[in-house]
Amino acid sequence: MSETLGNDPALAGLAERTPDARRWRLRAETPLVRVARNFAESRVAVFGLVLLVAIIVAAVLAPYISPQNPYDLSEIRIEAGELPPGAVERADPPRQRFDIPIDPAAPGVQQLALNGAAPFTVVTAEVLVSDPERIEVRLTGEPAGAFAEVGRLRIDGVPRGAELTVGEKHSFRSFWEVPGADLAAFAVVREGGFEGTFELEVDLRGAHGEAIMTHWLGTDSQGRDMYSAILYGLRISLSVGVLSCLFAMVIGMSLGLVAAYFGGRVETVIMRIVDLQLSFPAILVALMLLAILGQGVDKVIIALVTVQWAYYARTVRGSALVERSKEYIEAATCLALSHRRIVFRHLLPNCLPPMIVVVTLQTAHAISLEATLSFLGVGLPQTEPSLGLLISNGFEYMMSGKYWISIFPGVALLITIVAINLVGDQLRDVLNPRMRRDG
Amino acid sequence: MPRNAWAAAAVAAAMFAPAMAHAEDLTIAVASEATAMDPHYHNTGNNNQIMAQIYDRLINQGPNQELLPGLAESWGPTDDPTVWEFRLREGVTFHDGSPFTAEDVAYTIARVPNVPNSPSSFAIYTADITEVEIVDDYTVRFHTATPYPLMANSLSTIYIVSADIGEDASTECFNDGACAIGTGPYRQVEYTPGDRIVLEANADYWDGAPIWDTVTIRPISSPAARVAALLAGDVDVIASVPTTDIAQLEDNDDVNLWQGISNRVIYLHIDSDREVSPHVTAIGGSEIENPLRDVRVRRALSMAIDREAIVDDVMEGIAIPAGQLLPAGFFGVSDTIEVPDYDPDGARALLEEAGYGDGFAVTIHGPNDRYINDAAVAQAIAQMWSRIGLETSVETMPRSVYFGRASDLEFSVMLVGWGAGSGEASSPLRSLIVTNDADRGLGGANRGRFSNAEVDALVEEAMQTVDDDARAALLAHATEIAMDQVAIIPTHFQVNTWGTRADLEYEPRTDEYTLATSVTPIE
Repeated sequence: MSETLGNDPALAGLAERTPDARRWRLRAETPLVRVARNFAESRVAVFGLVLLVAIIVAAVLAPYISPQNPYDLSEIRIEAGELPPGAVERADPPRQRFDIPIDPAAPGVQQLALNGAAPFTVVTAEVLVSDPERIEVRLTGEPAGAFAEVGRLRIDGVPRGAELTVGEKHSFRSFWEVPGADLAAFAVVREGGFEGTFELEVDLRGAHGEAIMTHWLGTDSQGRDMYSAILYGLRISLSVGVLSCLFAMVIGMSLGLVAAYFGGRVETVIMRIVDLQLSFPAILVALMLLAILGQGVDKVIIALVTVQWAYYARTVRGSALVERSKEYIEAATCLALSHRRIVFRHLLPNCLPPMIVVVTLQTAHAISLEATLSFLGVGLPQTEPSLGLLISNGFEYMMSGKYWISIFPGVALLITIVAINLVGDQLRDVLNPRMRRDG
Repeated sequence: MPRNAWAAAAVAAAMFAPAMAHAEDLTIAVASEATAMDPHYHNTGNNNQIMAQIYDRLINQGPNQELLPGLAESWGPTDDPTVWEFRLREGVTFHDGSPFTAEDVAYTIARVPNVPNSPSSFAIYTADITEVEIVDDYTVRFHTATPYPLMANSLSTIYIVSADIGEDASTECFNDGACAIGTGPYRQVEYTPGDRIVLEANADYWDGAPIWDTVTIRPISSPAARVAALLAGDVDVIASVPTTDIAQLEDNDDVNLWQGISNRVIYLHIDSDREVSPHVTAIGGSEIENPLRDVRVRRALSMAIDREAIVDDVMEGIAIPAGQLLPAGFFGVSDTIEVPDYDPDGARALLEEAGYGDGFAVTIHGPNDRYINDAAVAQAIAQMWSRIGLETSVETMPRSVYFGRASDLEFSVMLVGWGAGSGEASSPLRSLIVTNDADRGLGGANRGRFSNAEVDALVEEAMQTVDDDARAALLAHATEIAMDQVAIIPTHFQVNTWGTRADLEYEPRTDEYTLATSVTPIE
């Protein structure tokens, strides 16, 4: 059986008789449990929290769950660039090159055996000079296993003024592109006959290579697996966001508390610096700093801390001013405790709830700021893209219809920020008594 | 379709009303705007392509940078190889109606080295001229201290201005239009930095009145925005169509694409000079003696680059693999240099031989807004070097930051491009390859500080050789040695793509200029 003690929701229904039934024991709900219970009242917020936890877990475990390390340049291949979602990355198709020396002055048939591997073994070139203006060439070869399909056949070294009877000359390069399902037969023709000998350079490439892996979200222009890149990008984005917020909070909170506690000139100086800082647009200050500092995760964090600490200082000062006039601080002062102890042991814990809200929301802000900076090309190095840089890289491809390079990292960023904001909003409701719906 | 109908209507109207002027305007979007309207202020393609329409040169450059008579009808060295004589075109007038004479040539040559605050002066082209002798109104002689075979090439870069603008015509005076008096096919009407340059046809142009009445040149730096502007019909011609959009635009009937080889080679400068290079370390970061001084290491780096893959996969096929300083067909190019084969195994073996079997760490620096796909090329090279065991990283930055730092030798390996303004091999050789010597204006852009006495001597000799064939052979030989010693690692030659409306034709230019005079309606 239980009994309600007053109206305090913190105590509601939580007094119960101990088993020995002689004394009432008050088992007050700890603040944490209370917060958790209130938090859970919003299903959307719980959904956000679950999402956020999932994202964090994915980011932390990225090296174990991603199929590729997108930051290891030796693992990614430019040849696999811009593959659409679900495409299979294949190894370079086998390639063969041989030179066919041709002497137009020697009529008759010439047989040339050229060694090959894949896609064709034992390639033979048959050169037939039948006419001073026309030389027939026939390439034959034994298909080698599975890869005996011709992907492309280029023939270079065609003398100036001469033409091939098949295929087309490349619009600005010297070679001819010859279609050939299985090697080719063609003729070199030159009006007015040929001058001297020449060598045809055949560059033959198979159609397929061995399958390496499937890219479920496609690849970017450098051949990075988008799924892996997004996981690693989340890792950077989250750690930059969280770290910069923590540093900014420590700095901002200390200064804000000191300002509120000591008041007077100290407060004036600190709060005017805060005003000054807040009067500049964050993105502008961060851009300037990064232009000076250069690229790197550490530098991005420094820039973000610089633009964000003032928010914390101002918030904490507000609540500290209220707390400072309360009796418990007076009591602590009367006990002649040191300033440091009063500020950090008495004042600080009572100012924390609003800070938790600010930290959460500012983390989301820091992540989007980092993405903005990367999008603008300052911030992180090209070879270690965060979400912003991935979006920026893909932006160039929007017109050409390669949506996946930009959209997927964009969606990942969006989900992350929405999840953090859902959690943050609910925390604000829970921790701010005036907004308590059950109060 | 309606646009074609309009064009047809216009043609019909022109046929039935021959008295009516053929009035048509043209709007061009370029990637970067001119830094000033002073033709002698800044030697850069973005400026020169505007100037080439307002001003003439004594010798103009054709689409393939061939030398064509401009304000000079004929030219050549006199019996004394240190004196060149130019016969000027008679009856040419400036935009203000005053006649063009030898005075204007002398004035221009005197003005060129004296433009204040010039970021990149044209003085390199006039420095060798010791005296301009005015023989009569239409004959000029240029004197030099030593034989100067490049006289014609050099003067084909200098825009002739009117002597009437006075001794101290400032860059500002050109910007506001008062001094902008040339003889070219178009006259300057409006210059609004960041927005537009408006040109108007010079109906009295000596080579015939231009086709377009008014030409508006707008800078649109974002490639996607440029394409969008063309598709929307806001502009008629765009420069630098991004390679990523080419495949799709080829299928679009409203747009024509025009492609042409550029004189611009994209290459890596390698620090082959300093004992310790700032961005080359042992794996792990400890300082090592600069391995890039060893030619075997440089060769290995070159062999490790799959140029075909860069062309096919980064440039979408719109480039040409490069093994030397200029594409085939240019003056002074070697016939014997082949594009190095991609050979990662050979590269690894060479590194092993040089004592770097375990690799080292290197950072490639590059711009991210200067050349076609520059950042992506740098990353692709980094991938390829990673495959031979080098720990390679890439740092790219906007060109405004990049080039200053590169010239201050802050980097070890840097991606750069070089367009041969004079259209022949001495331009890259003298700027990029010969030993850096600021006093003599040599090796000014030699940011790897490569130095080879034999190459220096050959280039020096070529610069004294007036005979074209002999000079071409010397330049080719110098290039062969430089490439054998891997002074730089060329990767590809740019191929530029212009986009126009479906009823226009663009004649591609190797100098990458986008000119209204190269745009013609398709009949």
